[in-house]
Amino acid sequence: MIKDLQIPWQRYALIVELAQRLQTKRSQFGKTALQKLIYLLQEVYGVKCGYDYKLYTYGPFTSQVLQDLDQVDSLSGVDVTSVPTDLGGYRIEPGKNAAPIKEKESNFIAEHEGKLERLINDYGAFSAKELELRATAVYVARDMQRDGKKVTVEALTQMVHDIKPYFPREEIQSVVEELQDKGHIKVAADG
Amino acid sequence: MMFTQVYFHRTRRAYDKHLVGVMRTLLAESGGLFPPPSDIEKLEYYIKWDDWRVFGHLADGKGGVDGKAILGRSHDRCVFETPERPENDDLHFLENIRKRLGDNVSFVDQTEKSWYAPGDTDIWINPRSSRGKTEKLSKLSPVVRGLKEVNQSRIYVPERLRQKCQQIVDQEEAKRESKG
Repeated sequence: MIKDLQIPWQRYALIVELAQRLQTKRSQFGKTALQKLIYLLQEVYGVKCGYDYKLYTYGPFTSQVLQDLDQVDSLSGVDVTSVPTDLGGYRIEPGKNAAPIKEKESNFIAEHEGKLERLINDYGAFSAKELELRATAVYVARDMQRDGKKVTVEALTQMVHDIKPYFPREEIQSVVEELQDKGHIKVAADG
Repeated sequence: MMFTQVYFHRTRRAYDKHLVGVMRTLLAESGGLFPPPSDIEKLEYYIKWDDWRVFGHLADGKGGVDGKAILGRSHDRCVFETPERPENDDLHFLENIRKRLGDNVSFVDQTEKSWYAPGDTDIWINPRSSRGKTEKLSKLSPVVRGLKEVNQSRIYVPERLRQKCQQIVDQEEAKRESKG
């Protein structure tokens, strides 16, 4: 039980900001993309959002993002609509109260303007599935480092493939190399 | 319904808080926590902490301030709560009330758990009609899909300050209403 009120306005503002920035960047900005982009923003670009991610079926996930999204939807900061496709996805777009929610945390958004810009440029155009693979590779690389394991392209590719066998090995390796080239994961030389 | 009317019932939540306080007091010698079950001795000590032992200490007046609140039914009182699905104005008003009540506040209770959160945590089911193909429950059930998170917040104060704090809240409510 806490004495102080904890309303995560910064996280609400971030969700609105991403919805605005991605409106033109991709055809459908849904819940999986939101999960993975916030994960990458935290882990790769070091923006402290306070989310605690765990590895789930579709890569790094925290239910807290969904709770925050639901609240921002309820505040009309974003509009979340169900897209009638076989996959049953969602579309997140800026809502009628997007401006006041962002305004409340304008300093936070301004402080991380550059990092947000880079996140959108680096990852904004990827599909949910492509983001799933990239976020998983980042998660696994960090997990291996924490466990003191040597992270090589080969070892990381194998580990990600074990977790996500439905991605071809070649695709995983290419993503690992792409993340290495971007400097978003630290990989030691093979051998 | 289960969530708001049972788990998040306003009085039950106050007793949750008092019970945590009682346990902290009773377990003061082990730092306010149950001992870790790292060896047989600690495990046996842990097992001894059953309901009867706690009730006995409580009845003997060893539960501290929170124990007194439970025994005397003088639990903390909720003086303000937001709607289950607060809007922007409700959250700003909540912040204002929290500020106005200052040090009088005993605790703030905010829901974090959801009834049902669609997404990666969705329940996968295997309906007879799908011939072995699994589907997300939220995709097949409009009722489940329509469930929304509860994001209610409540502010509690000690019973002795209830009247004074309720007046402050009422004044603020009146001001808010007059502003339209």
